[in-house]
Amino acid sequence: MMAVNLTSFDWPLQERVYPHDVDYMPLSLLQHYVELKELSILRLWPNPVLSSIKEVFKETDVKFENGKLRGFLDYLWNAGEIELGTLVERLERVKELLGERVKAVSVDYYEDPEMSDYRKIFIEFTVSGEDFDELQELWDRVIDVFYEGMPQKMVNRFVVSVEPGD
Amino acid sequence: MKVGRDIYDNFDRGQLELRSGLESAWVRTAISRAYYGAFLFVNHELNFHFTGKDAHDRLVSELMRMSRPYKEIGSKLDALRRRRIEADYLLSYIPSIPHLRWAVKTAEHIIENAKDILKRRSTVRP
Repeated sequence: MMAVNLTSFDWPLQERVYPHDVDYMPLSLLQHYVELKELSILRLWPNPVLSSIKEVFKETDVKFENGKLRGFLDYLWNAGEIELGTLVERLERVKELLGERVKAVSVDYYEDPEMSDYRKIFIEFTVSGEDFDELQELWDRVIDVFYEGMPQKMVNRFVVSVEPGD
Repeated sequence: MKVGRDIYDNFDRGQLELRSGLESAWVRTAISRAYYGAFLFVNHELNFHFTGKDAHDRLVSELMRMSRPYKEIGSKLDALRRRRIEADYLLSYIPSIPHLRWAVKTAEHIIENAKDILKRRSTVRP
């Protein structure tokens, strides 16, 4: 198994997590502590939307990709543009639809630099075992269950995508 | 759209390899053209004809207010637009063949769905 020398990284948790003389650890453990770091950030800067997404997909690898994501979600939350119950219900429907095919979920923020208010949350579901035609059909069904009955203000802010994982 | 497909086919057949900045530029270009191909086809052929800087937003917003299959087209266009933004603007974006393949296939699927709508429209006309 590949070993990682922590001393070669800028690793803020190193002294706290590894107070002893540990120079090497398996990559899987490194990933484990990166995940802890993500959860630590959620505890330090609670965000009900991100916490809910983590909760719905708790058995799945969930990543929050962009530093601006939290700030934008805070903005949407404070502006009343997100109904948490609606979002959670739609995500649970998507989870039920995808079942064990979903291998990872990533949540990202993006904006169009040429447009002042084109700012969106992008939820990407990585699935395995589908060819591209099947993937497109599955994506259609994800769109159906995710947006069905969703308030327009949320429809305008959330984009869902299904991507191949292998 | 054909530009995006041609570039992807060249990578797929091994005639291009993603090794240098030049090939990365091809991938970025192909993703961008895939998006614009799908956007222009839907906007023009389905008779929306939105113009101006906010044409992209208005088209997606309009499609997302409609039912299937328009909503699916709108949502996928928006997802494709995100890749286009990455490809065209973000220096940190790392172009990849899987992203290119996804973009081309998604654009083709959008166009196929739009063509199906056109066929249905033509058959219901008196």
